[in-house]
Amino acid sequence: MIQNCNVEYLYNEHNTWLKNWLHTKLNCSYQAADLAQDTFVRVLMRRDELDIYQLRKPQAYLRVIAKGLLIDHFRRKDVERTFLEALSALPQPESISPEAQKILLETIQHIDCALDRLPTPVRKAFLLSQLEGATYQEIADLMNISTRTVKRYMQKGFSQCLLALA
Amino acid sequence: MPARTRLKTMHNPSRKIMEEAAEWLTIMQDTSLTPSEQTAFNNWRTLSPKHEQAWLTAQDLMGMIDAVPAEVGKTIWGRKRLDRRSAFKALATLLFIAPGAKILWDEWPSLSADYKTSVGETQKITLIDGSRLYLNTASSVNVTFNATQRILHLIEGEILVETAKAKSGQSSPPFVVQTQSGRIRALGTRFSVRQFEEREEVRVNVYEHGVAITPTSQVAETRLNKGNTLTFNSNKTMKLTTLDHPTPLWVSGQIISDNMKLGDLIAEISRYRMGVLRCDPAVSHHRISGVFQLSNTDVALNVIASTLPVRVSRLSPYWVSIVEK
Repeated sequence: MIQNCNVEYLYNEHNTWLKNWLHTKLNCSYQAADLAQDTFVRVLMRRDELDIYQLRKPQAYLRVIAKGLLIDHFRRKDVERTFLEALSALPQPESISPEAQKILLETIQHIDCALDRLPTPVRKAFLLSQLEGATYQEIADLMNISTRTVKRYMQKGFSQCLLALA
Repeated sequence: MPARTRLKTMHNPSRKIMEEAAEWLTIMQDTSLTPSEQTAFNNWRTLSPKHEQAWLTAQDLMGMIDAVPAEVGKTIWGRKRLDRRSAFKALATLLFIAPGAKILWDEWPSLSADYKTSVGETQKITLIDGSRLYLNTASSVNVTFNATQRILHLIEGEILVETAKAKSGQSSPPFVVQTQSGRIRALGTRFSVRQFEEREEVRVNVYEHGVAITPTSQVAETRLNKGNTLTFNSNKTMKLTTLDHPTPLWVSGQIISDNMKLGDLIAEISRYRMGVLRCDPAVSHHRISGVFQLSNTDVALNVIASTLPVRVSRLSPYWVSIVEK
């Protein structure tokens, strides 16, 4: 089995199947091809693992990885849609150039991933500080917690964002 | 984007250095540095190229957040989180993994899933190894199973775990619950873990067999056996006491109060309600016994009001106080 578990073999044997499977999920052959490609990139990154695990069901393995990518894909789409809506609600949406929009969206998605890993109260405190400009004392009063806790939450928030950028 | 390109360089700061940078950001965000803090900061920053790199990343981060219009940030970052479970649902049946399906470890190199409950919701999940996971109200957990370990990351709230028995002749990978304050290793068992975000504490109740607890800053494991409960933080384990009840009641949707202080009971009930539920300190000393259903906390509050000399003051459905009659 092990000798069959190299990436080339997986690719040749299952690429078409994977693309078709993704196509049924995405209804778009271009995106399906993209995600299939990304799936194999992930597999390549996990090469060492592949040698350890003797894959008895390579399709199941690929599906697990592809599924994670699919969910991320849908989440990004979700954020993008919300972004465009929020943008159009701004007083002067046209003042932001398409390039700037693209960079902005990328920034937002990057930080969004980091925020997603935070517990709700931590995220809340962090956003109050960063978006509302609230002081730690104000956040403490608002959330009925100590300023020491606010500081801990902020530290957690900053850490998560920094790690996402690294 | 400068952040991206710069970070591709060889001076990739470690996690520890990034966390230190986050600490400085946290301080600077609220107050300006005192002269001695400024000196300490300068010293930190010049410790190594990695420290400098971490600080550049921190500045990039602040620049990135600044560049996002507040209204846009609020709408997106402040949105109700679409958790992985909902995402799964949105993807419909083909992505469904049959619970209890006979899957051998080596066929699942790495499988992650996230589960979340909102306030008042509980959930029961069968994990791929057959173990059962119960989520209490407002809880969130990430599940990572692979051939060498089974890890539940408790992000917030409370869970109950019933680990599956290993098939005969097969050894299962270690089963671990990772919390903000340390890890709990299951020793073939049924136990619950609750994370207290604010107090930075974790409480473990063991209902069957035992677990081994390791606070983050310790190496040695502390054994906790059936019928006991123990609280710990990242530095040490704290008081060990016997369990009030032999079974976790929230799993069956109940709170049983045996001569409990009203204040404590209300605090417990408030975990299952949206909005504010508070108990006037003037009445919190009253003692109460009874069985309360978590599925309808309004009924529970009315029962309390008919038992004790208190009344339920409803300013709005989301602002409820228990006050003197």
